[in-house]
Amino acid sequence: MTIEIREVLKVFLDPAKGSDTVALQEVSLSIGQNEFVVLLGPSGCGKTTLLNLVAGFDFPTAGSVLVGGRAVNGPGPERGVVFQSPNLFPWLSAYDNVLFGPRVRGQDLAGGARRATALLSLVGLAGFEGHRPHELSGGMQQRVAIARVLMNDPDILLADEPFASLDEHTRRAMQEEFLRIWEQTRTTVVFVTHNIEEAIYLADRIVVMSRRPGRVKAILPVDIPRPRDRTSAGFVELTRKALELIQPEVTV
Amino acid sequence: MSRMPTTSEGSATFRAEPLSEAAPLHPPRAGRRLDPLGLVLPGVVLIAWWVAVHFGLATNVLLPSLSAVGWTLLDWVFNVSGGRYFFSGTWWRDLLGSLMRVMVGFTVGSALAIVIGVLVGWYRVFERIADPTIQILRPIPKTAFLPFAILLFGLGNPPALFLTIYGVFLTVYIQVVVGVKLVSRDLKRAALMLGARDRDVLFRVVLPAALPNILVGMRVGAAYAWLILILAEMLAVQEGFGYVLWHAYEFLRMDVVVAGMLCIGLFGYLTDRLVVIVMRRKLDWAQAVAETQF
Repeated sequence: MTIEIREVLKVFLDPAKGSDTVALQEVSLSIGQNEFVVLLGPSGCGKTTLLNLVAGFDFPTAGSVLVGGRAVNGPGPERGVVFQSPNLFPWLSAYDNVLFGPRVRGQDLAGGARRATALLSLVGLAGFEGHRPHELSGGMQQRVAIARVLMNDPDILLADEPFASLDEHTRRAMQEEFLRIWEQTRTTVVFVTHNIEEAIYLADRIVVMSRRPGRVKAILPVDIPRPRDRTSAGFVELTRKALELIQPEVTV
Repeated sequence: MSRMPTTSEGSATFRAEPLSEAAPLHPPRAGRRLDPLGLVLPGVVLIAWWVAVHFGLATNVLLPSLSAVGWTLLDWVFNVSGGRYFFSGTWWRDLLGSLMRVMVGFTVGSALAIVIGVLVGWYRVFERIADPTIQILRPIPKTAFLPFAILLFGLGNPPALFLTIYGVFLTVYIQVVVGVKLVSRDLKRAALMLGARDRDVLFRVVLPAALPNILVGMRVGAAYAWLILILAEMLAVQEGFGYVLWHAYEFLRMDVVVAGMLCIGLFGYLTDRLVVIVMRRKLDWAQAVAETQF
């Protein structure tokens, strides 16, 4: 499913302080079917805000966000979200977390049960079905969160720095796994990160955003064939380019 | 768009991490065994009591002897004196009366608090209707309503039950509202993006997520139920632990007063354990709450 972001302005009002924050200004972006787009930018650049608009958690002050040609008017199961923290339901087992979607949507649970087990093993958690989130490590919880979203067969996968809190090695393993799952499921992906290496490793196209008010500063296509070697000349060259674009946007 | 076939190496990188990295399921609880240090203070109190009585440091009226309290308890429970005193053999009646009133007050008060608290915490309209009134009532000591309760309902169970229900309600209500309001925005968003409707979010996410606060409120509410009931029984009921305790005081029978205090303490402790057992069973996932509460 395609995503059309047209001339979006997002202003946050703070009635207590009486001050307004312009988070996004004149943001336009088209994302194609099955495309893997990464939103890259320094913290506070509005990339999460933009993702929330596509998810339907928030609405633009001006402009429009269209998914599959229709204006977004709230969250929905065709747009799965993987948050920065796993946000699992802590009182439910991994298995029941994955089955949450079909349960609230009133779907047939006989087929769902098989599928939930299959998805948990797809994300490498076979045998952990009965574990509750607090019995799993951070990386394992995030995999349950991915399986939970995939269970709904989303057309679009929105990921908000999902691996930011993981250690470097786990993060790389998760990136590879995320690509593998994407190649099997063929959803459109919008992936937010501030990590340049992660962006280049994953993306078909990198959207570099400027500091607040967030705008699209540049779009970098990544033409390196997958699997990508993080130390190859092309990879390093792109890293240099991205750094040059982002460095001026970083405010300390 | 380049697509890589799934390789076996791909899946191999995604091995499950060992469970030892995860938080331990049930951390060893040192407190389960009886800690001898905890017995020191009660021992000191008992010895001081015995010394004070034995050496006549306090009058018999003020401080009954241990054995007097023991005999009184026996008489209260088993009527060993053959009905000599107003409390002889009435213990079972008093126990059942007090326990019934505490249970009804606690159950009805908690149930009302959960229903109204969830409505107020979840729907802005209910908050605007009900919360200001409740906030006005809250600083008035719950027991200050006793005179009105007696005039309104007469003596006996009704005013005692009214006051206990009211006290439990206010105590639990605050925690329910807080619990519902504290449910993380992202947890609700997670439910919504998975396809939940508002009703699902309320019943499948907000209520379970608020359960730790609700149960903590109920635990405090159970203690409040006893506190308020004893006062109500002192003034408005002709039976029960509170009645016996106050009536004995009017005869300056401090041995009976102490016996009554012991019984109230024991059953207060038991009802508290009851709530804690429910908490342990329902909240094994809420470790932060679990560790501070038990």
